Amino acid sequence: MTTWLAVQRFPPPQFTETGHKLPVMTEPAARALWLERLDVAVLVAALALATWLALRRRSRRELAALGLFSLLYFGFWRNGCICSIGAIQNVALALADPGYAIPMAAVVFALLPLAAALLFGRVFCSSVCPHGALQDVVLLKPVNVPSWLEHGLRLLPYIYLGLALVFAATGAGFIICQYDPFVPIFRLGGSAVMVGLGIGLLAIGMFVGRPYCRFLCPYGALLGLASSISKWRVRIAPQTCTQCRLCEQSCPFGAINKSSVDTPTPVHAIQADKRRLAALLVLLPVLVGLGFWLGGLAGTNFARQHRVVNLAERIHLEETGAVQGTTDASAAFRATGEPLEKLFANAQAIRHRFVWAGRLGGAWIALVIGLKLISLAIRRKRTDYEADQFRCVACARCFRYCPEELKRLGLPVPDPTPPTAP
Amino acid sequence: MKTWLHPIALATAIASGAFLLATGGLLVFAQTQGKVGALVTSQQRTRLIEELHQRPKDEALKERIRRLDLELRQKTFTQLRLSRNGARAMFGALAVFLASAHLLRATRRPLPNPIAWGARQLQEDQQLARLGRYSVATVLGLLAAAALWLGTQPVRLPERTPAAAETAEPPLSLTEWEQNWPAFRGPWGNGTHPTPVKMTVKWKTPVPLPGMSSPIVWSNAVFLTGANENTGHLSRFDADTGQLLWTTTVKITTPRPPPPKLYEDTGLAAPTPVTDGRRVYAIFANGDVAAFDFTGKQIWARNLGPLENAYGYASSLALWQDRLLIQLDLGHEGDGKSKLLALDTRTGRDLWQTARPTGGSWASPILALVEGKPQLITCGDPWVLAYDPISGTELWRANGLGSDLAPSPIFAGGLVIALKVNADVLAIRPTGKGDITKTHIAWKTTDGAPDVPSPLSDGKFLYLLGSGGLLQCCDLSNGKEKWAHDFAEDFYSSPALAGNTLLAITRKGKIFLTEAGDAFKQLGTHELGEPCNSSPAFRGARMYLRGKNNLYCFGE
Repeated sequence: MTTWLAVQRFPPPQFTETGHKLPVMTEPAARALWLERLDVAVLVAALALATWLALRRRSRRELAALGLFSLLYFGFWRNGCICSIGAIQNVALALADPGYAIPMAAVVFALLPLAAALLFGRVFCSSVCPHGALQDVVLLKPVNVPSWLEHGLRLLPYIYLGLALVFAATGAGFIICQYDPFVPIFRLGGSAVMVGLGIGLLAIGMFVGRPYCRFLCPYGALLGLASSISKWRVRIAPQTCTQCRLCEQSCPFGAINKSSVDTPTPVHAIQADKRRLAALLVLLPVLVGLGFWLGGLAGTNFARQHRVVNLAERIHLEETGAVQGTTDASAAFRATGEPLEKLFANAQAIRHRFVWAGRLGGAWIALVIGLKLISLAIRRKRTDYEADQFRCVACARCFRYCPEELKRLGLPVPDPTPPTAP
Repeated sequence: MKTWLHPIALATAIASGAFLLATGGLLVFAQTQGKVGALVTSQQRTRLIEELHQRPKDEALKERIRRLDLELRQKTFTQLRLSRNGARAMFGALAVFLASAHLLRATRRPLPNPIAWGARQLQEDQQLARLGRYSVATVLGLLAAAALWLGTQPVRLPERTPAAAETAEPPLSLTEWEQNWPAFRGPWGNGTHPTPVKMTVKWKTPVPLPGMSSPIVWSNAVFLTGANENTGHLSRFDADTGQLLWTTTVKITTPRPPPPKLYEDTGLAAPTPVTDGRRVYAIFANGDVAAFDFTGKQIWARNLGPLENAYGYASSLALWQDRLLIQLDLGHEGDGKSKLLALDTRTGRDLWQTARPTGGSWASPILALVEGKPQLITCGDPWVLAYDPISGTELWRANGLGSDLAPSPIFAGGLVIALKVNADVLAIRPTGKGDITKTHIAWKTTDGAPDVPSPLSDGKFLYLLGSGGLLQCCDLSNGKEKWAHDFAEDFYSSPALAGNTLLAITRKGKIFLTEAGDAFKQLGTHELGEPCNSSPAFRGARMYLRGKNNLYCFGE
């Protein structure tokens, strides 16, 4: 942040008379291999510990302590890089481009938390991710986001995920890293916009629990999908839910699903839902097709984000007189003497890739939206209060609200408070 | 559940919060004051350095700059230090504030208080589900709109295939070139054809779109351009039957400049296309230039930007081997807008371009083989300029032309004939280098020259047809008039020679047939029955002529 506050670029001193030579600018050495291995080891250890703390110890305090460690290690010490959120882009690029040599650490960071989520739910989010830990630190007075709004906002991570994979697989860039709002905070420096965005999100995060994790994080979307089929994810009640409803308001992330035992659904509502469900099931392929088409359209524009396409377009506009003058990039390219044909052919090939990646990304986003609409038409019967299989970040905040948990811990159980009228 | 920690946490939170706000406010204040960037923004320093450039030996000034520079640097680093320390203090205060706030919350944790479900619960759930659907549908709609909007602004890249660009092509055969009528006024732009044509209409076919351009012919294909208000079109006709085989439009993705102001006598499709037998190339007054294969498929297209030309762009295209040559005489003399451009015929890529010291003109360039070497000869105001069509290097120039230049030059009998409108006729020997005005003008007449139709020569005589109808015959070797005849009609079409017959076509569509020679002898006339402003094209014993509404084929 101090870097942001300071204007760094000013002209170097002129030493024409004394002949003093300014020191040559050097680049920092690559990170030592043992430090990379240390990162992986810390990740593995932190994940194992988080799993144990969330599922066995069921301790919020210890998870918070681990989160603080992760914030300091992966956040402030490692400057937010390497991180699992961005590492999925490395994997996407490696899958699309055989010429890209992916670092092993990136593979582990991308896949290990996913594997853990497949088995134990989102334990990575609970206390290993520095982004989540940072937002937990600033969360002071959580308020509930209306569920209807949350349904819409919860789609954003899937959209972001689709876009990020399109951009990564086509070699245009790693937008998750580029637009990570917390990395400038971890590094105490960055562009004013990104610093502002990070501070803004943290300001929101004082009242809305983990806004980045819930409404933006693309990796969280993947972890949610993996978690949804996990067998050993966290449960609110250690054994049996007694329907006491004491945990109902305990989750600052709106990730507790109510029991439906006391709210039987009338027949007409069930029939309406069935009709809606049938219509949506029929509509789903149409929606995916539409997404495929629209994604291709958008892909023709997204291609501009690739530096080769951007340069080719600029040079084409210069050649056709649509723009005057040159940019640094176009002048540098012209100075190389490389044939324009080669550049244009390359750019066209990349544009073609973008169109296809855009189609696939569009189809993915449409599929997610379609499935979301379908899920809203399905009325589930729940006998217990449950942590949501997608949304629960295994933070353990709700455990202590459960009398059964207090009994397990041998703590006194307070007298039940009679429900108040709404 | 208050404990003794509660008031301590509360006091710490308030104190650290206040400190945080105060420090943040001070930092923002310092930033807005611009002190940190004083070194960069110091106008005084910049001004002094500029002064030093003018008085490099002024030692006092140097010392002053040094002192100021040091002062500014000290100030800058002091501010940086302050900012850094302030930010550290802020972080510390933030940590204390957050810790005390969490402690405060922990010592005053609200007890769970479940809201009782009333009868409205189900109804509320249903309403929330409905709103949830709307919320998801809104995201869907916004995404679709964004994708559609993005799709309207795709990446603009040249429409050319790498395969086409990389394919080497054999050189163009000059024999084939001369057997056809590939450009305006024929292969060498002089309007002459060795074979006479019988003036009987073999076929006539309506032209799909209007235009002032002339037809070109290659083998059994006749090509013609036309245009609506905004877009250029190219059509192919069967030379034997007159059947319209296809009409295609220039498709271009680059943003076009605003459409030029069109004049009735020029329009968008005044320039005549050119062909090398592989592709047809067309240019239009909106700046579009495009190449099509003989099936009508566009090979490449680009826009050359706004063609600022007083009466509308009208110069026809020329071609030499793999170079498409475009004379872009724009604006006015001295404003530097005119240039000569060579594009790669396979790709449309720039091969070279040469600035021209001329203003706007409407004449077309011609190619001439002078002592076995090609020259691209152009007319502009006030120069006749010749270039090497391969490299774009200027070979020679001769002064003597004027404004409002429409007639194209010709090369005949070893002389380049160029016209200063309504004034002079210049005969230039195209063998010099540099400015040959004083050395290579073979002869010059000053008693009037045509203003629109181009000159014509059979190698012995020079024929000049004025737009007012006066046909003059001069001796090519010295410019002396042999005879003159006034048709008393208006002419825009350039005269042509088929065999020994001179054809002069009036704007109303009447064709005068005159014998070429040292005496005027009218051979006959033919009525098209519709206006005509274009020049004829020939191949074999046939002539192709564009009327206002129809394309005609005369001959066997």
